[in-house]
Amino acid sequence: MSEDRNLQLPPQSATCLEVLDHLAAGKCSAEQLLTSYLDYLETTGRELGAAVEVFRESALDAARESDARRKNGDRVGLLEGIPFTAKMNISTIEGTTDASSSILEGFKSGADATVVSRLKNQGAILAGKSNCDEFAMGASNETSVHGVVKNPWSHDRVPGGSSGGAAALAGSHGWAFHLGSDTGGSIRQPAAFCGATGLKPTWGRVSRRGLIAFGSSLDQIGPLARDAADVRRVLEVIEGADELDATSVACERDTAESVASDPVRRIGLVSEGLSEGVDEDIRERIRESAKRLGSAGYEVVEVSLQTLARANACYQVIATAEASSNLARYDGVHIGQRVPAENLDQLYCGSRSSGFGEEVRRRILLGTFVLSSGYIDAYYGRAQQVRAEIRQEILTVLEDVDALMMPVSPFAPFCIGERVSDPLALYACDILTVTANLAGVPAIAVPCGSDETGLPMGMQWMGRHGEDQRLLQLAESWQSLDDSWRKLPTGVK
Amino acid sequence: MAKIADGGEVMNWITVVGLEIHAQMATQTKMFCACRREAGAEANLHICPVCVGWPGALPVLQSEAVRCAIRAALCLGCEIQELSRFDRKNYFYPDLPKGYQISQFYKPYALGGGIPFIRDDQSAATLPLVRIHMEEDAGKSSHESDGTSRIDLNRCSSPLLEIVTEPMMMSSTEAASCVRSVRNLLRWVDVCDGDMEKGNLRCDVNVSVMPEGAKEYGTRTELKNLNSFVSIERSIVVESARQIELLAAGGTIRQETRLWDQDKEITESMRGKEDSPDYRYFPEPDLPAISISNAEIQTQRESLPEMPEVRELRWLEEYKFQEREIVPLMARRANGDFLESMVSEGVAPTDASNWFRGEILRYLNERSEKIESFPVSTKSMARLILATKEDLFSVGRAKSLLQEALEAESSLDHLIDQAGSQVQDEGELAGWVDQVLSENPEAVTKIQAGDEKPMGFLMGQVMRLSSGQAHPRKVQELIKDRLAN
Amino acid sequence: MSTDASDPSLPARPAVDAELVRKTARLARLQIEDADIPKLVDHLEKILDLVGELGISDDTTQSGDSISATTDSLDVEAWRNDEPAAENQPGGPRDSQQIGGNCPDWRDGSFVTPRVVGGE
Repeated sequence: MSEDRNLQLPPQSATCLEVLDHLAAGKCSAEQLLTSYLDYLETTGRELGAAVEVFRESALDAARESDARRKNGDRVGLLEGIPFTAKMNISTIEGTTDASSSILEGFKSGADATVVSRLKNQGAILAGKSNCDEFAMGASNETSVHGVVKNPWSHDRVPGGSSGGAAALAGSHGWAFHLGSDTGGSIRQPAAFCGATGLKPTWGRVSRRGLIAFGSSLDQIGPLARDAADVRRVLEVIEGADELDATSVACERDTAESVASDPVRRIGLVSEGLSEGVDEDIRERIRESAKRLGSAGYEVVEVSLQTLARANACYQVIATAEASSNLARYDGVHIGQRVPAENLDQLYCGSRSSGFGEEVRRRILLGTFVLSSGYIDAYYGRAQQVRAEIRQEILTVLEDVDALMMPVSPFAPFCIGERVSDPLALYACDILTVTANLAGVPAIAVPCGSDETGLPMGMQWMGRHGEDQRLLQLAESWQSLDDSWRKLPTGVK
Repeated sequence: MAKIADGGEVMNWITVVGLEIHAQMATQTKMFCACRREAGAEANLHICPVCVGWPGALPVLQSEAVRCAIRAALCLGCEIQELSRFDRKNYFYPDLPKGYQISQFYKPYALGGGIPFIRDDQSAATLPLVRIHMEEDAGKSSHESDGTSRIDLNRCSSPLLEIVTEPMMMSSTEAASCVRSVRNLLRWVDVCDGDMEKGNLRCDVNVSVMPEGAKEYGTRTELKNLNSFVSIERSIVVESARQIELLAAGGTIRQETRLWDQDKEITESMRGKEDSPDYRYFPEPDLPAISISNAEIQTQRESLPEMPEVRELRWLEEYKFQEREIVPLMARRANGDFLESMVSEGVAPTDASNWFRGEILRYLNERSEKIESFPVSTKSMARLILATKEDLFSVGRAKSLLQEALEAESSLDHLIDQAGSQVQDEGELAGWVDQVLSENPEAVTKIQAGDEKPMGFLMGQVMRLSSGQAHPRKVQELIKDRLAN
Repeated sequence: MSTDASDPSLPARPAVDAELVRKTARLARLQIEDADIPKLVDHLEKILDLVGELGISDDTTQSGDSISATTDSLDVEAWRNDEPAAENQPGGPRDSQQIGGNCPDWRDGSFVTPRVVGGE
């Protein structure tokens, strides 16, 4: 057909919203776009270790249906024809959902997570599954049964974790968005490491049904994409109460329209986030960015978050405690891999020990310990109290300012293998991100340039409970000042 | 109270019992998912990702279970907590697919209250409750001859109430009477089917003994696997005897969990306190806290049926029922409800009671059925009984009409209509009677000589002559009248 | 003491040894090889030292009282109606084939395990 000769794919860095315009203008079809995107997943996506599964057939079918809808003038969805991937811990009808663990090897959930079905209903097309740390436990994507993921900006470095696959894809190509999950920074930290934009929504704003649980009271599904406008669009599709998740809530008052007339004005720069433990160039960059926001009319003040120093300890206790219980279901009896055993006890211990990787076993052990008789009050009980203090402090500090500003990670993307064998070095990645999870508030990571070696740098804003849209509005405004989000790594095709 | 000779002195021992009663709530679906709650279904018919503990599935509490729980707490006099929470009880077992049971540990929904029961000496007493909490049931495992076990998760995640009592000095029969009292109350308010054989009511018993006059309770053991009232009674007798014997011989009691073996009539050690599982309770992060409003409590209070003691008193005073006749009527709330419904249709309470205990109960007992499946409505029953009062036909006729309706499964109303249209006109009746009397002089002579036997024969002849249209009692009166003259 | 000496309310970190690791692993149904124990002891010690930073201002904790839930502040009453879901509806019962298909040993419609002994 003559249309094929005029085929004009959008530029590789194009955002989802730009691609939507492109498709609406008839410059290319969803099928053409998807074919090209699937090729990218099959080549670069697989080379980076980011794409674990690619659903060529079902995705192309969906793309053709999408094209038919556009052609016939049927209702088109908010993400009509836009490809997306889901992290390996998010259930999809297509493929497997193994949370990158060998204990769930081959697990077919048979149903879409609520977020996935909402996206499909709005025309988005599931193109594949992205790699992650085993059960989302990690900050470097080195604990996956599917192998390590490489940072698209420097292949000997980690992409961050646990949503490392999603971030590597979002950081190296436009057109699509990627669902990740964030328990202690698992969306924001890899987004920062890969030059993507990633949102951890308010806890409860997005249904967790279909997400393989790690630390249920901290877990939240969220989008990773090129820019805040794309993230906003995805949030608008996936958010809202779900009758299959009793902890999900509708945040109806916080909309793009409502925040347009009441945007963020006062930003609190968290002084503890710029302490000694954070790399000098990251501190510098955050201060510079704060100045730029100041020149753009924002009021930036320094604020103190005294609980920040204890947040990581608190997080390690609560996340592992909940994980030790959430992962008890992988027992070799009802689900998952089973080792041959003569008795039930051998079956339990054998299946769990061979099915879980080292880091997961370590966290289960710690979580079991902090809940066990004689220690629960000193560890889990204390952690709950500290958590309450953190929530209270965040609440109080955010009465005075509209958003809190901090780095995402205290250091730049590190080399593959550098930290994975030292749990403390790995847990240090989380110190600036866990507070948002513990407090249940929204937090977003956005690119703010690159360091001298060309690696992306990110900054983080936290907002009030339920005010995700206000954060996104701030992020969009930032991204109109600073176009570093637009940059793609060179050499990536 | 057991007496054991101790160094020549006779020592009296007192048994102290505490109960943990598990009652499955009579809801349509399971506690946290939309699977049907059905006993006896084909294995694993009613399972879904939530109750099988699939990754990604989340529990969602259902409202009817909360309402049942509120009703149970109200009829046991508990204080319902404004805020309560679910916690996870962590342990590994094949019938527990999540590796934890969703229960309430730190903040149960109901505190206090008590179980009313009758002491062996017929005095009324109350066994105080510590708490009631909601939790989900586990599945079942069965053992195969090939050395494997099969796991059926149909029961898994069915809604349960756990009713925990204080320990109290009581006999084995009194303990069983407490469980029976709970069973009756929960049945009465439609919370639990209360069938121990089917396992929807289960009980663990804590037993300790102490010498009479002692200030502190002895070390207790927990008995499991009690699936009938008989096993509750017998196990307490056997276990307290074991403890007394041990103590009298100078031994000590080990705090432990013991299993009741019904066939051997012994209790056997299952695990000691030191081996008791470390359940690592912590708040269930997948479920919001439960807040039960005063309005909801009020709604449930108003929806509660008249409680048994109130009904009993009213029947004694207002209906002038005898204690004895009340027993079968009170056995199930639906029995009394049926009776009340007949009364509200205008039947005198005494008639309603007589008919219920007679015709209706006989029918139900013969078929082992419950009143809910009685095929005749209270309205039709009332019509039948009232018809006898209005002399439309005799009580005997009414009974045979009911019999006919039940056997032939035909409409009682239709039969009443037919029977009610019997000829009562004196002139017409007199014609048939006179004809029969003149055709049967022998019978007439016998009756006049004082032999009443042929009366039935003459009646039958009149009925035949009238093709069943004649009103039997009128006919009888007429024959008597004619022969007396 | 693994923690700030100015906070006397904090208990010393428990001595982590092979027995504690084994006991905890047993609770978690994890099999621990002897060779792995020194490393696990070391990791657990380090992590518990980190966790020792959990200072709190108020040390009036009693068993259970300190354990509050984060879901308490959720302003939702998401109770479901007591109605059975249709087969294959979201959250409803699914073909047991599918559940069995993901079970490591599924025979004749049941989960099969080595013989279950004892009880809970």
